[in-house]
Amino acid sequence: MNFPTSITYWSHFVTIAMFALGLLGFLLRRNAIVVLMCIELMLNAVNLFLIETSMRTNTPDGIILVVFVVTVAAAEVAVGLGIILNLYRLKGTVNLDHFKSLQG
Amino acid sequence: MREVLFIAFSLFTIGAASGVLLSRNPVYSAFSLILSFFGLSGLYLLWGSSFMAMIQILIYTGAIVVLFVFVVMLLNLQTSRENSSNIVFLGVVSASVWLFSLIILRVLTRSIPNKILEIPENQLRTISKLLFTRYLWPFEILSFFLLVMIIAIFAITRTQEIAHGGEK
Amino acid sequence: MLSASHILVTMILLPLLGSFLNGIVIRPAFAKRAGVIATFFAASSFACAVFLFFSLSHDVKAINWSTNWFTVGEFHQQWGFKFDALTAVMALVVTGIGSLIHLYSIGYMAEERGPSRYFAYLNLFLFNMLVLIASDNLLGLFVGWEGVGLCSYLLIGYWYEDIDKAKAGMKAFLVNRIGDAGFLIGMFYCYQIFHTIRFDEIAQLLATSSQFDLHLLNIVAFFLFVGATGKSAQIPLYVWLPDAMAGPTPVSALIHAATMVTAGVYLICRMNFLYMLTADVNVLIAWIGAGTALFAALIAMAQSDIKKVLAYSTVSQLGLMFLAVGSRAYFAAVFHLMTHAFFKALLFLGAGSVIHGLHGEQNIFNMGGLRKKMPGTFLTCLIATAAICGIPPLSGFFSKDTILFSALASGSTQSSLLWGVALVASTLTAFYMTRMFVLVFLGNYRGEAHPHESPWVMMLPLLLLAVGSALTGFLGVPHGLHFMPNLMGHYLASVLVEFPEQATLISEHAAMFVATGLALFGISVGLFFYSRPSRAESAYKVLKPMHLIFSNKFWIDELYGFVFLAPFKAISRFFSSFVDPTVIDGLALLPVRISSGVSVIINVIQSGLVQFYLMILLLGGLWVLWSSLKGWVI
Repeated sequence: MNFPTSITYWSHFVTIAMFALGLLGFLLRRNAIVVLMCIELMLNAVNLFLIETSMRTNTPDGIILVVFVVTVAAAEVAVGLGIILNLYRLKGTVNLDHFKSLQG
Repeated sequence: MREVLFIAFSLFTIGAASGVLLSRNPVYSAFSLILSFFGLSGLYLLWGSSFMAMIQILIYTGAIVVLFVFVVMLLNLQTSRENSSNIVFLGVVSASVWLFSLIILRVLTRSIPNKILEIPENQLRTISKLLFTRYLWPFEILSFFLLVMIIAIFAITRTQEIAHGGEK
Repeated sequence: MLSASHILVTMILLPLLGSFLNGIVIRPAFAKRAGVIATFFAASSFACAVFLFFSLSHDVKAINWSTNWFTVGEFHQQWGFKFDALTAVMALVVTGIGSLIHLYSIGYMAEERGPSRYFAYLNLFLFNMLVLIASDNLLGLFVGWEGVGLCSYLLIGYWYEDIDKAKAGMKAFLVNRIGDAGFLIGMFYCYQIFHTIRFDEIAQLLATSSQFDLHLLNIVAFFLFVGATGKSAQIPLYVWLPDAMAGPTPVSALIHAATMVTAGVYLICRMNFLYMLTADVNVLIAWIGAGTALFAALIAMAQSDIKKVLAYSTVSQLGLMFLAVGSRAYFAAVFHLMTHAFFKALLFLGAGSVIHGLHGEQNIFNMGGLRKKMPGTFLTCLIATAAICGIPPLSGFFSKDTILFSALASGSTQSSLLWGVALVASTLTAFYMTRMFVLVFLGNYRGEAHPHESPWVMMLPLLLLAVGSALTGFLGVPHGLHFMPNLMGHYLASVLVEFPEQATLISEHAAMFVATGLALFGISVGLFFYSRPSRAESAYKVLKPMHLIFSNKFWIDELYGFVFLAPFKAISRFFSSFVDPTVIDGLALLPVRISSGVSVIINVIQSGLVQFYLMILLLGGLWVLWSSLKGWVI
C-alpha cells in the first residue's frame, strides 16, 4: 500500500508506538523513577488516542475523559514519588532489583 | 501541509519516547519526557484542540515532570550502570510487547473509518459546561480524590516514624 | 430353679466376677480384704464343682451348656462347655487347690503394696483355667489356653519393677507362644480333616468311619503336642519354667505346679480318641517325656535355690505324665496329675512358708535345722517329699507306679528302655528331693535370720494338702494290688479309652518292688551325703565337672540365645538401623521430597519483582488476545 498520509493513521501509529515504548520501558528499566515516567508515557499515548477520536467524531466526551486522566495521573505521580522516597529511605537505592522481599 | 507537520511531530514524539527509554541518566530521561510532551502538544494542536495542548504543557511538563526532576535531584541519583540483563529475557519481552502492540494497532485501524472534520470552535466553553452539568459527579469526586491524595502524600512522606530499624 | 448347666456356667464365671471386683471395681488396698474376696469366689467355684460332681451319675454322663458365638460361612462356633468325668476331676483339683492357694496368699502377700492386682490376676487365672478344662471344642479350649498364658505372664512379672522378673514373665509368654503356634496349626488341620473342632463330634467320626489318612492324623496329633510342649514345659520349650520362679511362690504353686502346666496333659487326654490311633507321634511323646524327666532331674540335683529345685522337679514329673500319655495310659497320666498337684503344691507352699519365715532367703545352703523352728512346715513337707519319692502308702507311690508299669506294658519296641529311663529319673528324684529336705529342715541352722512359723492362713492349706497327698493315692489303686478297686479308673472310663496292657517281662508286683527299692536307695544316698557337710563336700570335689554341667542347666538357655535370639536380634538391628530409616522413611518422605523439589522449581516464578510479574501478565494477556482475535486480526 502506498505511504499513509492521514493524520488518523499517524495518530494511531504514535499511540501504539508510545504505548509499546512505555510498556517496554516499564518492564525493563531498573530505576523506579524511570519506570514511573514510562507509566506517564503510556497514559499520554492513551490521551492522544482519546483526543484524536473525540476531535474526529466531534464529540466532547473524549476531551473530558482526558481532563480526568490528566488529573489522576498527576495525583498518582505524586503519590508514587512519595512511595519511592520512602523506599529510598528504607533501602538507600531505587533500583528495583533490590526490592525482592516477596521472593520464594 | 498539515499532514507533513503531523508526520514530523509524530516522529519527533516517538523519538523522544525512545529517549526516555534508552537514557542512562534519569535526568536525561526526564528531559526526553518533556520533549515528548511537547511533541504531543503539537499533535493536539494539529488536531485542533488548543485547550488540550495548553493543558498538556501546563500540567504535564509544568508540574509532573518538574516533580520528577525534583525527586531525582533530591535522591541524587547517579547514572545507572544498567547491567545487561538476560538477553533472552530482553528478546522475549520486546517481541511480546511488539506483538501486543501490533494486534491492538490492527484492531484499531480496522474498526475506525477515515474521516476528517472541521476544527470546531469554542472548545473551552463546551467542555466547561459539560463538566458542570453532565460530568458533575465525576468532577466532584475527582476533587475529593485530589484531597485524599494530598493527605496520602503527607502521610507517606512523613519522616518521624520511618522504620530505619525503628530507633528514634 | 437353677439347673445343672446353669451351675456349670456359674462355676466358670464366678472367678471372673471376683477378678473384676478386685481388679476394677473395689481395688482394696489391704491384702486381707482383697484376699478374702478372691478366696470367696474361688471357694464358691469349688462348691459348684462339687455340686456338679455329684450331679454326674450312671445316667447323666455329662452336663452341657452352649450358646452361639459367631458364624463364618459354614463354620458355626459356639461357646460350649461340657462337664463330664474328666472335667470333674480337673475342676475339683483346680478349684480346690486353687482355693487353698488363695487362702494361703492372704498370709503370704500380707505386706504387698498392691494386693488387689495380685488377687485379680489369680482369680482371672482360675477363670481361664476353668474355660480351658470345661470347653467342649478346641477353640474354646484355646481361649482358656491363651488366657492362662496371659495370667501366667502377669503373675510371673508381678513385681515388674525388677527388670529381671519382668523379663522372666516375657520369656514365659514368648516360649508359650511358640507352642501356641503349634496348637493353632494343629487345630486348623483338625478342622480341615474332620470339618469340626468339637470333641464329641471328632470322637464320633473317628469311631464310626475309618477312612482317615493315618498320616494326617499323626500331623494333627503332632502339632497339638507341640502346643502341649510349650504349655507343659517339655523339651525343647521348658526353658520358661525355671525362670518363672521369679513370681510369688503361691503363683508358682498354683500355676506352675498344679494347674497350668497340666493343661498340655489335659489336652492330650481330652483328645485321647485321636492319640489312640497315632502310633508314631506316641513314640515321640513318650521319648520326649522320658527324656525330659531324666534331663530335668539331672539339673535339679545341682540347684541351690529352693524354688529352682522344685521347678525342675515339676518339669521332671510332667515328663513322666507325658511318658504315660505316650504309652496310651491316659488314666495313669490324669491320676499322676492329680496326686502331683497335691504334693507339688504342698512343696511349693511349704517352700513359700520357709521363705516367708526366713524373710526372703531362698538358698538352701543358708537354711537348715528348720525342723525345730517351723515344725508344722516340716511335717507337711515331710509328707510331700515322701510322696514325691514314691514311698507307699502315700499318693505318689500309686500314681508313679501306675505310670512306670504302663510304660513297661505299652507294647512298643522301646518300652523296656523307656521304663529304664523313667526309673533312673525317679531314683534321681528321690535323691535330690531328699537332698533338698535334709539341707532345709535337718541339721543346724546356717543362716542369719530369725525363722518363725507361718500364720494359720498359710498353715491350714499346708495341712489340707498334706492330707490330700497322703490319701488321694487310694483313689486309683492299680489292679495288681487287689485290696481296693480302682475308683478313679472306673470313674474316668466313660471318657478315657483304656488301652489293654501288653505282655511284659516282669509282673506288676516286681516292677513295683524295683521302683520302690530304687527310690529308697535314692533317699538313703541323699541322707548319707547331706546329713554331714563334709561328705557332701568331698563328693562335690570328685564330681565337680558333672556338677558344673548340671548347675549351669546344660547351658541350654545360652544355646537358645546363640542359635535363635542372636540372629533374630541381628536381623532386627539391621531392619531398625538400615531398612527403617533409609528405605521406609525414604519411601514415606518421597512425596515430601518430590513436592519440595517441584516447589523449588516453581519458585523461580516468584521472583519478588513486580516487573517480572507484569511481564507474565503481559504474556498471559497476549495469549488471550491472540486466541480470541486471531481470526479477526489476520
